[in-house]
Amino acid sequence: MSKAADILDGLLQELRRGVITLGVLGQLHSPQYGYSLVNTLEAKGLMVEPGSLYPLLRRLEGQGLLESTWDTNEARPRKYYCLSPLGKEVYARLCGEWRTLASTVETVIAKGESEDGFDQ
Amino acid sequence: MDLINRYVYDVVRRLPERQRSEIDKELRGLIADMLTSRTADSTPSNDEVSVVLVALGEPAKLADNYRGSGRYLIGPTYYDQYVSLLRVLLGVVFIGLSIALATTYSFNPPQSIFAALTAYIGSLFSATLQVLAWVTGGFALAEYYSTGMPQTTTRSDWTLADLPEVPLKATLIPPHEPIVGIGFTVLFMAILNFAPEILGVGSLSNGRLTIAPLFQVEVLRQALPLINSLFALALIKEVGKIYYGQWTPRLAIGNTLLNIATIALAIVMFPPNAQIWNPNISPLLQGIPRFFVLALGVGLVIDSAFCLIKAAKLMK
Repeated sequence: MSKAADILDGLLQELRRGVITLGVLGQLHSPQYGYSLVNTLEAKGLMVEPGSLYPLLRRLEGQGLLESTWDTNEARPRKYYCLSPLGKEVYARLCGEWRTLASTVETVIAKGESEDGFDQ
Repeated sequence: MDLINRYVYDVVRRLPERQRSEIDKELRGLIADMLTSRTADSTPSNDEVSVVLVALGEPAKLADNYRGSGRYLIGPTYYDQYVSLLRVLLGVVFIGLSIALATTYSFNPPQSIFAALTAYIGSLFSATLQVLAWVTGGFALAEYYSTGMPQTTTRSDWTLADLPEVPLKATLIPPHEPIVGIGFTVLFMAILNFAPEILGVGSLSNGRLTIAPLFQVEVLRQALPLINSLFALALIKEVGKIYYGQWTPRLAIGNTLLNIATIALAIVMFPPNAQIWNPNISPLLQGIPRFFVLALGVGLVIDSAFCLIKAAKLMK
């Protein structure tokens, strides 16, 4: 049981990694800082660890998909991230890819389930 | 606040220098945000800080996330140090060997230019290989045992108590210090091994300059293994300084022990009347051997005291 749970955990992490990128890009049409992004995604049901979100934001910025500005006006300086023009283009295309992939995977696993008798 | 400092330090110390200050700022902002969402209190209790830091997870893993983890023989953490050390050492070897061989040849002219060139290129080649092998091997070991690389365990037993202390400015070892130390060690090693004749005392007699070598080369050659082990001790010391980056108690004590060993070896090998010294240097300069051992001893004692004081500062 715990072995299955461990393996499932690892597989789920791999699955979520790419999905989270999609979710993050989707929220950044207007600027947000890291922790507010954690909260908005969480409110929509997508749980993200801050410990992986912050590095992810930096990586996406490094790839040129995000632009960032430090807001030092408030008591606590915060780094705000927003989609760059490149990011907008990549996001739009990634959404298209996601829909295709999702429906494909749906078909594949629907077939697999009935063949292997998992849906008894 | 101290816990937060230690946590953030434990993350950023594993990251490339140029990213540290920004990630430092970013992490502190994140931790503050996480604290605010837990409690409205402007001065959160230690317990609340602990809960937030544990939720953020092990610093090594967080740093891995920032780096985008990977497995390396010599990874990004050490790569810059590796390249700069290699550059210095290879430069020192090249210059040291060139000077050393040029000097040797000017005292004992080679049979032909061809023979001289072959010997020169041959020793350059083997010295370069040695440097490459030892430095690469050392760094690969450091990489292997650093927290970045092996990701074999599934459950981590990391706790907040594992957080290292943030180093004090006063106890930091500036990186150029060990590099300069290594450079000089290698230079002297090359001279003593390949051209001990150039260490000598010049004197004018009858209008002619003669150079009396400081050492009896034959005796020196027999003592080379011991002398080289002295140099090896010195090199280990410098590598330790690079590795720890600050005068930790362990490093300071190790350094002091190595210094004591060095003084002991020097006293055994270089007593003033030993055969290793050329007996024919002018009477005026007979004091040189005594001066040499004395200077070495005083220098090492000062060095030991200095690092012990710095380490004591860290303990406070």
